Amino acid sequence: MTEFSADYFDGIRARAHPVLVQVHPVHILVSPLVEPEAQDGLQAFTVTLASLQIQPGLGKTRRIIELPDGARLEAQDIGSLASLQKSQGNNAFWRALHYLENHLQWVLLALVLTVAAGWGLLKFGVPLLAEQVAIATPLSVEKDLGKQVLAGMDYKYAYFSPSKIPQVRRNAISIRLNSVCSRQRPVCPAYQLEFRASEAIGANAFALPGGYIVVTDALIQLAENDDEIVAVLAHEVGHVAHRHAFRQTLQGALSGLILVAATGDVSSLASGLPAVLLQLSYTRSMENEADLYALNALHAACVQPHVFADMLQRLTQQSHAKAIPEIISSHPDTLARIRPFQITWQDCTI
Amino acid sequence: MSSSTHKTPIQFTGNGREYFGIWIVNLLLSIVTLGVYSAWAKVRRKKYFYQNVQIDGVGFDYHANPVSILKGRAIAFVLFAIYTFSQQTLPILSIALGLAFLVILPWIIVRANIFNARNTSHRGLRFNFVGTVREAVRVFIGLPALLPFTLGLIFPYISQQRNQFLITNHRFGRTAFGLNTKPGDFYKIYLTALLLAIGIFAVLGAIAAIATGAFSHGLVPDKKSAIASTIFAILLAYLVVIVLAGAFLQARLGNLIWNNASIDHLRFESTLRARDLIWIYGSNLLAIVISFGLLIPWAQIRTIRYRTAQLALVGEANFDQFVGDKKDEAKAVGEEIADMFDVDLSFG
Repeated sequence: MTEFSADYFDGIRARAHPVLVQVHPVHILVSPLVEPEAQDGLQAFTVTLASLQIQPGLGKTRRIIELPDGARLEAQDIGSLASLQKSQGNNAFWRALHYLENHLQWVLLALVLTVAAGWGLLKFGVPLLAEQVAIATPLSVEKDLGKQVLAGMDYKYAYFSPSKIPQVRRNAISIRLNSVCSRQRPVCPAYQLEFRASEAIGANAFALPGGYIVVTDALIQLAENDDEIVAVLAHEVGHVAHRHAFRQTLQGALSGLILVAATGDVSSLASGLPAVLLQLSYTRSMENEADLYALNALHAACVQPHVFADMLQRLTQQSHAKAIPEIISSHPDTLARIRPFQITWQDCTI
Repeated sequence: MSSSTHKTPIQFTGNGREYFGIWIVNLLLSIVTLGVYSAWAKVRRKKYFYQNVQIDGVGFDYHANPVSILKGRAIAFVLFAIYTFSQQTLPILSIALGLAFLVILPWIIVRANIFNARNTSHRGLRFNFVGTVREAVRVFIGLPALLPFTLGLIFPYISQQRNQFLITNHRFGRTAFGLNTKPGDFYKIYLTALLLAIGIFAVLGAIAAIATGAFSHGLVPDKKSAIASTIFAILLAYLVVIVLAGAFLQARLGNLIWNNASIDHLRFESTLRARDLIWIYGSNLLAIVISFGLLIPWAQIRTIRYRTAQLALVGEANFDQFVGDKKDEAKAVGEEIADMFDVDLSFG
């Protein structure tokens, strides 16, 4: 039998009654430490062990025992009652938790695991989830999204003005891309080519959700022939085929939501940062997928792949002056990237 | 009265090292459970803070059911996801959601206060919040609607009314909190803050003008970058003003409210200082950024330690006269609400 002193609160009055708690095999005996008259007539009473709610330990705060009638005992040390907790259902979890929180080596391990788990979630979990959500989302919804984004770029932010490339040239590019696409197996996904002039983003081409592909006048002027343009556009069609733009939008939104949900109490400053940092590497693997798509498309259409390499090198050379084009933004190493394109199709007659 | 001079300090007994362990384990479990554990984490975190805030050696306690918090978070999560997504695809829906949120805001505020108050206890007595949605509509929608017509001049009055509403509707057991502030007190503080802001702007403007004068002798390369640096300077000045005036307001309003609040025979004494808050928030932010967030627990602990250290109870700290409701009654009320919508809507 152990005993300890505690403060007893009856749950009706705020007054603290100093009491002595004696632990017996099936019950505890709570007896006032001062005469009953001085304590509003509090008499000694017993409570069965089974009806006690012993709150899990937390830091070095007083241990709290909730009694069945809404009263409570608060004590610095609850003696053998602490071990009684073991037998109470899910208390093993809270005991383990309390142990972890108070031992430096486990805290450090938790820190490492937290970083690893967070990184793993953003790196693998979120892309996987985004892919599944993308598959489950109807194309029409994605198209609405792309339409909104393009409209926003056109009017709200005024990034673009109408293209000044003659209609004939634009048609020629569209038809050329179409013919490359039609020879590709499986054929290209539905896309919509948009020509725009832009002071802000220079020579550039990018895919928006819903199959919108935007190409700027500056890129068309930079190209030496239409095949170079079509090669870049085939890369963008690759993004469309894999729904990259939509998946990336989802990933951004999902990482934000998941981090807020997971951390809850962490300021958004700290939780938003890693999501942004990891966005870059999503793009890199996606670019590789799109490159492969372009390479296959060019092969199917018997366009020699060096056109893509030439165009990419030219974009890289002029990019330091203007904003970095989307197509090379995530690839610091253009040379490594164009290597697969430095071959000649031997099976093509043209 | 000799009893009114007796002071009882409010102490915070937690420490950063201890809380770091709790915080990191919470974070880990929240991440590996994809956020589900965050509700349990919140209860554990709040319990740690509440139990370490002590008056006369007795702490507070937090009783929220994690499942209720989880429900609240799930609802908030879904609504937020719909709102974010519809902004891009269906702007009308996002506008409708925004308006709906505005309309039910008073209800949310009342619910959140009830949830927090009823789940907080001290010395075995629960707190309560008895404000009505009707009153909340007045101070959170009705009065703010008048702002444009009064050129914002009633803002300090709104602030006073809101604080009166929130404080006087709180109960400790059955005992009501009192708050005795006048709109004039709030006008004085907001006016001083405004003058302070104008003063800071003037000083920063003068510095900028001198600096521009010095740079204009051939150092500023072209008009474009001059405009860009001016915009940057204005934004920076804006930030400085927000932080300084914000800290000033927080300290002065905090003192005003606590020093005029009472419960039964007890009053409070609050001695917050703007410069302390600026130092604490500024150094917290810096520490959090350079430690990649690892000093968040330390920052939270030192903030609450400062705040509790500046607060004291004035009067004979005798808790005998505080009485709570009979437990079965309180429970019935709690369950009734649980049936309707007992969720934590504080989004914290």
